[in-house]
Amino acid sequence: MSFVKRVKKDKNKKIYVLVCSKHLFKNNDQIVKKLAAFELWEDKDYKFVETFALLPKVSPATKDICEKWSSSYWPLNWKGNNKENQLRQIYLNDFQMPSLTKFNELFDILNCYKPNSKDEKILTLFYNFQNNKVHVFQDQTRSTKFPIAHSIINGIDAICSSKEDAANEYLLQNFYVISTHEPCQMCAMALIHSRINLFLFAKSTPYGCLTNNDFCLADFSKLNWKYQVLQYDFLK
Amino acid sequence: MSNKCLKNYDLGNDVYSQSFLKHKQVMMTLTEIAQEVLIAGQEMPIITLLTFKDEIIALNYNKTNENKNGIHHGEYLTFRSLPAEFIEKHIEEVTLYVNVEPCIMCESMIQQMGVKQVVFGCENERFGASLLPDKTNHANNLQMIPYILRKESIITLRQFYLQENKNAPKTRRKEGRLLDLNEFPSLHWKSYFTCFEKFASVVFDSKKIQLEDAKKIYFNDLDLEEIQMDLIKLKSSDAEYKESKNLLDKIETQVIEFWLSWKEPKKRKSIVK
Repeated sequence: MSFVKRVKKDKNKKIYVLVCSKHLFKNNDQIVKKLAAFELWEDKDYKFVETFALLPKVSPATKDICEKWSSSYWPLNWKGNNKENQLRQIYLNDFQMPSLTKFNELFDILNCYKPNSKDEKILTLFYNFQNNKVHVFQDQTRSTKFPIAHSIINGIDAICSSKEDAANEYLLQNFYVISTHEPCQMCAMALIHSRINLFLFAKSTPYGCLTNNDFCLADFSKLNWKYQVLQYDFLK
Repeated sequence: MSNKCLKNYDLGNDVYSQSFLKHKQVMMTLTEIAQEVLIAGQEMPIITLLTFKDEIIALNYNKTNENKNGIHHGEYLTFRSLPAEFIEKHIEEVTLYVNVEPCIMCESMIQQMGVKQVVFGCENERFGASLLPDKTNHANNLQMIPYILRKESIITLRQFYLQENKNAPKTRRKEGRLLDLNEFPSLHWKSYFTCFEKFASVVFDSKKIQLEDAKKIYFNDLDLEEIQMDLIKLKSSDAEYKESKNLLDKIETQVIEFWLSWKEPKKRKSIVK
């Protein structure tokens, strides 16, 4: 029920807090007992003003419905249509990928890119889907003797410092990022700080932190941003 | 919030090891600089200092707003400011100081750069590397020395969050909120010193500390000291304080002087050739 807000304020500035589902406790006494364990006492720290709040069981399908239910029942968060969001998650899978012309164009750009031979051929492409511009960056740790000159870090720095893309944009929310390799912890987190939408890579790496069986940094619940990760071997 | 932290356990400077006292001295400077950045009000007051042979060789702070770049943390700007030759020869000899635990990105960056020692004030509850599950927070030879001037670091961040955000599109009014100087999150010495002996040897002078006192601190997760309120400027709008704002400039000048003198011997060598 992540679409339900926990707190609401009425016209008299009273604050109402949603404690739990009615399925969790059978009666108020059980809740009082539980809260007493936290040294919270009825009538001193809180008061039961309404036993139940009426809530929609399913998330609203549209923003209009969300607003209507919020005013009629209890405040809700609008996080988009759940089903649409789920469909978006499977939109770019391994089977559909080759049929997507735009992505094939981007893969071709990476495959045709002539890298500096002094450095490793680790490339990252930043595609701005709003203005359709593409930038490719290479790992430069050898040529610059700077151990953290990874292609993703080079790309974020270059794009943010170019006035063209950074004039009105603080973060890279308009970008898809495509890389030849799975990123290290530093680069995966740099993409979170930059708030990209989608990251696609071709090859897994031993230092990568996106395809570990039980942990993916791009989907780490404790952080304030997530991005979709796809793996598709487009290298020729 | 931990009630344990409310108890003050101030043993005085005499009991600390020489290296710990050095770290504390740098952290005091860093905390004062953080207050200066806080008053400027543009950026999160997270300061990074780098020392090499007891000299400060880099001073940077978070510039994500100024540079419009989400990765321009103090640590990254610090590494970028170092000459490649210096990184190659001396990076293992430097100590990095920061008032807030490095984030997940910066922690990986520090390790890839090859820095061996990091000293910090408080944990980073939003982005800190300590948020990572144990499996990914891999063991390494990076020594983290945490919690020096921890409460001062937390208060500096709280002061920042109470300020009006000058970069926010709509200003949120925060006059009603008060600065909490009493409650602090709990700390975990074991996260950084897996055994007591290591903790005691890094923090204390074994000849001067009572072992029982050190054990109480380690096993009960207590802070080392009381808050040094003279490092925190509660009235940031105070004109007198604004006029005396010069530590940042002073250290930046020191850093420039260091790099000028560090380059000189190399130039002389080439002249001899």
